[in-house]
Amino acid sequence: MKEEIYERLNKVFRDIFDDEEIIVKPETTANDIEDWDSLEHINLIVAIEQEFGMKFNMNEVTTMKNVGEMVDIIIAKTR
Amino acid sequence: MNLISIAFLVFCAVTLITYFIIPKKFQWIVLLLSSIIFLFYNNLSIFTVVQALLVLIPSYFLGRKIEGNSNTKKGKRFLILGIIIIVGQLICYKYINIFIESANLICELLHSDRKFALIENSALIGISYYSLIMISYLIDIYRGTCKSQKNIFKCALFMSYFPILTSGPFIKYKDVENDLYGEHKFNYDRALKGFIRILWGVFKILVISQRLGMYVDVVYSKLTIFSGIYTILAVLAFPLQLYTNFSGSIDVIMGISEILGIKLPENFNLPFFSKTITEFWRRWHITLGVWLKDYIFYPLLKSDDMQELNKKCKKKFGKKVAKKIPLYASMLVMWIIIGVWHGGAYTYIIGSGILQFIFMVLEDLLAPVATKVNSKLGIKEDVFSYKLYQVIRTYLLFAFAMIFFRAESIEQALFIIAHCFVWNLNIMLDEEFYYVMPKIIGLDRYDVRVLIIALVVLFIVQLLARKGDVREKFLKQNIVFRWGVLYALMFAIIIFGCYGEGYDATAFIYREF
Amino acid sequence: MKTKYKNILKVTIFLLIFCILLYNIFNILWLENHNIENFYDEPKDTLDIIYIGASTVHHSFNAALAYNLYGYTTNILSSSTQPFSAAKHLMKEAEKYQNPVLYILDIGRVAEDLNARRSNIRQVTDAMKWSDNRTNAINEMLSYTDVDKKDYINYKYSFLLYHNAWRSLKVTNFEKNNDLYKGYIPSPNVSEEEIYCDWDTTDTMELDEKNEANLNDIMEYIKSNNINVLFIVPIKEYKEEIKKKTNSAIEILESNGFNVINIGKIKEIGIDGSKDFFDKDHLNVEGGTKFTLYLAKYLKEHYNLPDHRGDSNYSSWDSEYIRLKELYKEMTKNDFDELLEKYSKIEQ
Repeated sequence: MKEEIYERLNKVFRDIFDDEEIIVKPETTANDIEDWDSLEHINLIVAIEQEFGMKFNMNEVTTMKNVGEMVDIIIAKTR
Repeated sequence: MNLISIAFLVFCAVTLITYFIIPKKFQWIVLLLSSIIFLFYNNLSIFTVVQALLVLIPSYFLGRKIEGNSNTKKGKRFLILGIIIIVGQLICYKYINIFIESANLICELLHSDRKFALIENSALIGISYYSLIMISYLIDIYRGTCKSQKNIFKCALFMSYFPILTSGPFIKYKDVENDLYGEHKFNYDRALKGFIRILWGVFKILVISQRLGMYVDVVYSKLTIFSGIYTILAVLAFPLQLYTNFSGSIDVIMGISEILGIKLPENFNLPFFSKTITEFWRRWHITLGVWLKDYIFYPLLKSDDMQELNKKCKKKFGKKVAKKIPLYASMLVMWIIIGVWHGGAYTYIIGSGILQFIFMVLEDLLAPVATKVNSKLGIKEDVFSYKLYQVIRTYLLFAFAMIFFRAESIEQALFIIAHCFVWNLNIMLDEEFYYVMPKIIGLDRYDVRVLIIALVVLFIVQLLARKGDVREKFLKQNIVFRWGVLYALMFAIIIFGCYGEGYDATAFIYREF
Repeated sequence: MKTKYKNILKVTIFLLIFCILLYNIFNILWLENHNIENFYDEPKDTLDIIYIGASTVHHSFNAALAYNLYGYTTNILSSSTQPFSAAKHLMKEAEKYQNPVLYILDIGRVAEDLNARRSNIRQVTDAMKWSDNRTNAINEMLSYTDVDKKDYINYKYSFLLYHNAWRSLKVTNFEKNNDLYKGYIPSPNVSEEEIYCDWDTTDTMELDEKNEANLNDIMEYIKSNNINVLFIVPIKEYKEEIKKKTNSAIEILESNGFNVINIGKIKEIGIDGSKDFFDKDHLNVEGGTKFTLYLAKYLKEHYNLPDHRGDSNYSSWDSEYIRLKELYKEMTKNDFDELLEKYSKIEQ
């Protein structure tokens, strides 16, 4: 189940950052991907919301620390 | 209460002593009483008390109502009510005269004899700060980021915490909650660090900022006399004046809060080392940027309308462009808000708003272009010389925008810009220049020397700050060095500080002797 | 526990050193302001006459010479362009430390605008020691000016101004003042143009309201404190209007029983407008010597003044007189005693 989520996430990331080589892991943070700044963050969030049909709330948007936390939220909300 | 005044010194001394003498569980009460005194100092009236309550009461009660209803429709209704009240009163008190002037203008156009009197501005100190802070409080409760404060007095303390009232920083409830209401033991090392920071702030304000201000003020008030090199110098000096004044005030405030044991977020991070305007605004007035990002920018970008716009643009212009349009639109909204927040005049909206937006958009659009051009021309981007060019360019762009910020009107700003393009460097070769200028400008060659030395000191400290915590390193040094530097700083302020007589525009009495 | 006391000790020593440094810097940055400051250095109750007024006083009366001739001590409590509003406060100040037989008030500026230059006010108030009298002096003297009340604090705490004095630091800031010739500042120069110093009018013109009120206030103070005062109109070039107003002032003073000497009317002093001034306001050393010879004798004859010559407590008056003669020799290459002889003959 988690693997599938990571697969779909990879697609979104590669799309947003225009980089076919991206592979995200639980420890991945904004520091690891070059164009992932506060501006791109929102676009990424929105794209993920659309991909998984759920919504992050603002609290989660501003406090999530890495991809791992992001995935936990996705799982919790798509149950 | 002016930050640099005997009154404030006495106020702080009394507050600090009381704070550490009384039983720790009452410490927050001391803070509350001090904050109330500071808030209403020289400004106590029914009018101002109502003004403060107009924000406190709705924030407190709506905050409690929103909690438990976070992320629901019901909660949203309370939230919107709260925001409307707070924003409404802010507009009223801050911008009421603009509305009255507009009303008068309309009456004039309609050939009516009606004229409304301008209201004397008795807005409470800090209204621009505590209003936005309480909005963030309500929004955070709605988002579930924090809980509401059940004690109305503790809530009042959060709203009026006196160090914040003069120039911020913008605080978040969750970040200060524990410190603000907690118990604090006096910590000598922490107090020492705080004291050093306060000294440094006062130094920046009295020795550097006020001095630069004397020059800038004269040029901006006697526009027709000055041109060419004088105007250019004033334009270049103003960002420094603004920075040393603003960051100096922040240093004083942070130092005091540090002694109290209450940690506040930083507002500046060596902004003049920025390579782009975009980076600049991540280092200048940081907490304002964070507030806007968290409560305006992100919600806007994430909103359904923006997403709709994004989809439409994707269809029309393709993915790349589509990404930018909602982004730029949101940025524009944000920058206009920043401009308006600084003051309800077009000079602020342009100088600290639209121009910044234009610079950031241009940087975003031209960055890839510049990279291509540079690589074709063999210009390396990751070398010192290129970064130096970027830093200088950023400063110049900021200085240009600040012409509008500082000027009293758009015409004045354009006048200044036009007057820069006069060649008169040769005047500085004339002997008379060095005798006449001090009389007009109010800065003599001694002032200039002090200024240069002080700026060099500032620069060195900032270079050190890039490597790490300067105060930590400083405190590790030997006692003779530490005390020597502290005495030097204190006496630099006492002797070279621009205070007292001789520093109003007209009086240079000591020269008459 | 131990660190707590160590910290308290550290802070205390730090503050102590700071205060010492501050005190020293405060003294260095002080603006030189001789005569009124020097007043406080004179031992208590050793001054027989206090001579108050503007620069006409310290350029014309050679107190050390008067002492040498007759043995009484005169303190020159003067300052540049001293406003007449200062007189009462200076008398009050002197009364705290001295018990003089006589006060001499130079009324050359009795008719001048009391809205004085702030630097001239400061030369009085900054030199005075901290006291209620000083605060009153500041408040009253500034009340005639357009200085904002909230700025009075800059005068009360003069360091608010003097911290700026680092720009004009001279070697003398670091040295202690000498006795400075007991207040007399001689000049060897002669004015290029002839100075018209005759007092040739008996017309009067009404004093300005404020000046008259100020004059009445001073007379009131003198009477209620039973002080012996002599008024002197100095010899210099005056504007017509000032002469007429001063005549009114003289009338008022005399009608109140006060003694007024108008130097410009006393031909026997022998002041020569072409030789005895160095500018239109001030006598040079020649004129000053003539003036001192006359006035010193007059004072001896009309007032009950002691003779301290020979008293070791007053040795500074002898030594300053010697230094003055050396100064004169340095300035003019001539002997001061010869000058005295020349004018003493005229005097007789």
